[in-house]
Amino acid sequence: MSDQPEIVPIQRMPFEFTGSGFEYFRIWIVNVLLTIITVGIYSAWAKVRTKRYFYRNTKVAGSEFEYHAKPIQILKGRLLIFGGYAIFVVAVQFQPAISATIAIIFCLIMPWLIVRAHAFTARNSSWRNIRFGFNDHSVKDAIGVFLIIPIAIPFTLGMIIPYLSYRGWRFSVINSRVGRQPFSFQSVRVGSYYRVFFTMVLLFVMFISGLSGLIAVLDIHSKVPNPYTAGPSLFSMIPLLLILTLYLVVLPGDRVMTRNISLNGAALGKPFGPESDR
Amino acid sequence: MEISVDCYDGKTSKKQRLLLKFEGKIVVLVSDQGEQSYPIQELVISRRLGGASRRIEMPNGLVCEASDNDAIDRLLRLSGIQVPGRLIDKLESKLRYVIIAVVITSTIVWGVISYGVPVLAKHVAFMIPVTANTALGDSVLVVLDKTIFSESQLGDTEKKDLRVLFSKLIETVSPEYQFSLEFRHGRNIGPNAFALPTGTIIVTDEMVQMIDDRHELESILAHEIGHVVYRHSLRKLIQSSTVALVIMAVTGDISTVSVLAGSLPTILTETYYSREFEREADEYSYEYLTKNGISPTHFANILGRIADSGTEIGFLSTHPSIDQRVLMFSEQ
Repeated sequence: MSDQPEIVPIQRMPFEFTGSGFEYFRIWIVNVLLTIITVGIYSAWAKVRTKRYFYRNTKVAGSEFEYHAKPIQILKGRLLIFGGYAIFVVAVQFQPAISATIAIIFCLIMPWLIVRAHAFTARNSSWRNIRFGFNDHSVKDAIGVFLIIPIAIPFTLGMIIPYLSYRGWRFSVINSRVGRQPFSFQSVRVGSYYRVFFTMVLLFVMFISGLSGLIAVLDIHSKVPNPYTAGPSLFSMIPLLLILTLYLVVLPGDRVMTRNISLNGAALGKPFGPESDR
Repeated sequence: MEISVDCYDGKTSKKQRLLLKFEGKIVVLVSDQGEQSYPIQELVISRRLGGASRRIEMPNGLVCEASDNDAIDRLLRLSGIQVPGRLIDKLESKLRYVIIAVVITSTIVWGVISYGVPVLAKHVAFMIPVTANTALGDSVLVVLDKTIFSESQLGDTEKKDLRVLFSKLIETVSPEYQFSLEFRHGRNIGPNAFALPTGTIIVTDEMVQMIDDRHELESILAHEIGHVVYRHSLRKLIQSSTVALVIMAVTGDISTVSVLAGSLPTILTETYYSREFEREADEYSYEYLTKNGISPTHFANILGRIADSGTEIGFLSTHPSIDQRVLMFSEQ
């Protein structure tokens, strides 16, 4: 086949998942047990097994994905992080001022780390014997998305978060490629992220007002429990309920919805964009 | 013996359905263009993973996917090749091993959380110099003053009196702590007492007023001192971060659920742990009282009176049940 691009109509290829909950449970529990027994060392193998399970059971056009990372690579990476963290903890004990310096350094290299992580995952993923790839020259883009724009969060009272989420997804999608074919993100609109964001904020506010109403009715405030005789009361359950609402409804909802928007909008090939850098 | 496979050459995403024949140590791939044979030991065959299809990589980069896992394992065995990852697959696929894994894992996690973590935290907390406790600071008192307490309405002589009593209690305790006794009007929280990690102990006016016998207050103060010398604040800090770590290690690979799975057990274990701390503080008080020839019933009396006056609406108890505690101090 020649390298000349062919003109083909857009094809829709839905994802298919063939895994099962029980099958995954068995893999997971064995992973957990072996990880405990080996004091965490097996976790690298467990990670590869888990990743492979999901890759091998996800199909597009009848073909599954493959994850190629070697557990030993992951183990090395984890040991590096663990060692770095241990050094940080010890260093802070002796020189508390150093923590600020390290935090700043970490922030500065974070965009580069994000690109490396994306590149690692992409390089180790394939579909139909064709590897994915990630644009190595995207560090500048990453600095903008993960370092510069977040500075604006407090000044915009968080109103920039959906835009940030859009940019984060755009960064991941347009810098990824299958073989030499990059993905495009042109059909995705920022407005969709704002719609999800405000829906979730509204939902959260409704939960909070519902709870406050309940508390007002029960008049809990005058009956703060005595620590000498009673445990946490309904009053002290409020933070727990808020956390549960946040973690069970709002955050997963937001995550799934933005993910759907982003992945549904991703397309293989660049219909209008400029030449991509390899 | 032969199986049908989907092959990808690595240059395009085109799928070719081919036939893979096993002839002893030689594997033959049959396509329209003819046959190509490879020695079996040069093939890279992926490990079995549930019911997922296997990936067979040829030395020239060609990849074949085969869904018949059993056939591949059988062929490998026939060719005298070790099936890779068989042990793990056996553990995962046999229900009895999975059940054993569930039992062992939950036993270990339960044991670590209910015994390991508290013991570890205790050792670590006592290895750390006392200054680490005082470093935790009294900043919480500033917050409490703003939100819950108002100024104490007790007379100066009464306060002085009680501080003398307090100094007797701390005589035998390590001088590294900065013990001090503070009084506040409790407002909503009624008769109560708290200990801060530095050694600052706060007693509400309502508590002082509820006292019938000075020994009762002594027992309460001893309980609070118990919290300080057993370093409960520091231990609580260590324990909750360790539990979070344990939960993360166990559920780490289920990304979305782990946040929830991580926060809920932490909250539940917190109540269990603090009950243990209360028991320890009670024991400290009990020892103090008996050592100084004071009847432990004083503690039982004041607890009973607080319970009678209180408004109990808790359903997850951080403290041992009041009856249990009264019983402990009523014996003898």
